[in-house]
Amino acid sequence: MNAARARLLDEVYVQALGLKGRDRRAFLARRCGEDGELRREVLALLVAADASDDRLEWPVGTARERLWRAMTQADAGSQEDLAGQLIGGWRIGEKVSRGGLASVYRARCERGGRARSAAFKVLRRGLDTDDVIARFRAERQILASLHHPSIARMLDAGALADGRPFIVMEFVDGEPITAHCENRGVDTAGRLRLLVEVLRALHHAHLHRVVHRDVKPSNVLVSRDGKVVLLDFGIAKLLAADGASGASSLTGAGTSLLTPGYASPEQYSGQPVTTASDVYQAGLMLYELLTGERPFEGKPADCGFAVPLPSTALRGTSRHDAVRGDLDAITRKATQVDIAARYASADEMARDLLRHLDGRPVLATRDALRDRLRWLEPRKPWLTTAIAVAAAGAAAWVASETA
Amino acid sequence: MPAHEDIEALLAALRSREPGAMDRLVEAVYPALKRLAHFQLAGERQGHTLTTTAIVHEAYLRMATGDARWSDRKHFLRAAATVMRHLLVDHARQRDADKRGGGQVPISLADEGLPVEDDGVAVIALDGALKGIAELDPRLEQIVECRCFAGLSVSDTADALGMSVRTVEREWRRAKGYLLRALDRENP
Repeated sequence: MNAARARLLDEVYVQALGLKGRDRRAFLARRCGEDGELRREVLALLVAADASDDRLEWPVGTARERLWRAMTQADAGSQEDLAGQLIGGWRIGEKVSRGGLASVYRARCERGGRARSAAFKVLRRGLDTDDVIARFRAERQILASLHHPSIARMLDAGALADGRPFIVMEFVDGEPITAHCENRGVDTAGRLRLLVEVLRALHHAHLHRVVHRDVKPSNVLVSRDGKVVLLDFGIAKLLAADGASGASSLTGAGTSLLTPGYASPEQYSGQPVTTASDVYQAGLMLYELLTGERPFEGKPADCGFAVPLPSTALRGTSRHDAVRGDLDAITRKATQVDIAARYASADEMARDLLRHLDGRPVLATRDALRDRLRWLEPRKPWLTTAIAVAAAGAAAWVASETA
Repeated sequence: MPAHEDIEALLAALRSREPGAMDRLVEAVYPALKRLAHFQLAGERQGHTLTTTAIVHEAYLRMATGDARWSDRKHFLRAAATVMRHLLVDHARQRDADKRGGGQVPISLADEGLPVEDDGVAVIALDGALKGIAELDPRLEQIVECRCFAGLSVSDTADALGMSVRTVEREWRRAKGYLLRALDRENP
């Protein structure tokens, strides 16, 4: 097609785009006249113009994804390896893992007498932009402020010659809490006790105004001797004095760093993230520890945040009855979409789990019962009382029968 | 990065078809895009099943806050879109040449799990069509680079190009007609 013809085609096409139905047909008949070729080509363009964008998104989106992978692979080929080097008194050993932003090596301290095994975490080369470095420094600051037996200890920190910051942490030889429980056949009570330890570590962090924000099984290791260690404060944040997260650039990055399937509703919606978010994630972990599956596994993305009851997943199994009731209620209370309806603190959730372990009534069940009876209250207050009296009577009767 | 070469000046050089301008622009933008790719894959490892525009967007914003050169978001998005087109076409040609030359397609991890149909052919066809419509109206080329090659939304495209959302919507529709026709000719 020559240039003049292309311009003519475009002119007719653009005018026709602004018209609809009969007007468009009349315009094309008038404008194209005997030129059937022109008319056909304009019509084809009009049809294509109204097609879905998806027809382009498929090939180009795929090509983009291929390109991203090729770019990072080329980079991975030239990956640095610090193994063997001596950095700040630490002898670097084998590379243990390469996360998205940082590499982790085993390391040994060559200062002082005692050889100490550690994990050496350093920002990957090429990713040392100001914001990533700022986040890395924040993690360092957060770790320095926390001292708890169930939080991986920071042993040292510094910077490489090229300025990239590093953190040396206690090396935890263990496996994720869920794998630990499965592999060793830990019973329900044992699992709950491990979660209580996690909640205590979280509570310690919360008291220091630190929200972890990424509580999930892969960040909770259980060492060979059964010790729980909470890892990876990489996206944790320091709360402002009022307890809510401020709008610093550091927190701005938070929304994109969430883990789908483990993020709290407020993380998804970009609302301020508070300690209640960690409680929610602990609730999801409780579900997973009880049922062996993730609450949202295989669920459509728009299924909402209502966590199913663990006992529902266990229907037909021998553990169904043990989980129904208290543990259902505790899971539900921890994972309420409404922050105010969740446990007020990680410690409160821990104490409820302990109450359950001791066979005492749990807070969550009381709340659930109150919610169930609430509909009666405005109109028939006497009925609530009557039910309560009847329930108390029944309980007393059961007690006297079983005594 | 060529010391502190102004992105705006590079884009202008490219428009006036100055030799080597594209190479210099790629050199300027590539490290940022690569970081973006790492962010994307880091997100994937944390459980994202697919790369999402949300991540791209977030990464742009974070790069912008981390690097003074990109403080002008408009310039970054525009430059990124142009470079993305260049890289995508280059990559597609490279893969095409590998296939023709080697007889055997090298199997790499990068290709796992992606559809086997050749999206590269589509990218090359779109690039050709784009050259044609740029003659009609250079705005169409810019809009398609942003919307299609960089995957930007209508409003981000409008921001990047300093156009109104309505203009972008109207001209995108016009461009889409040409692009899909070009794809149809490729796969009749």
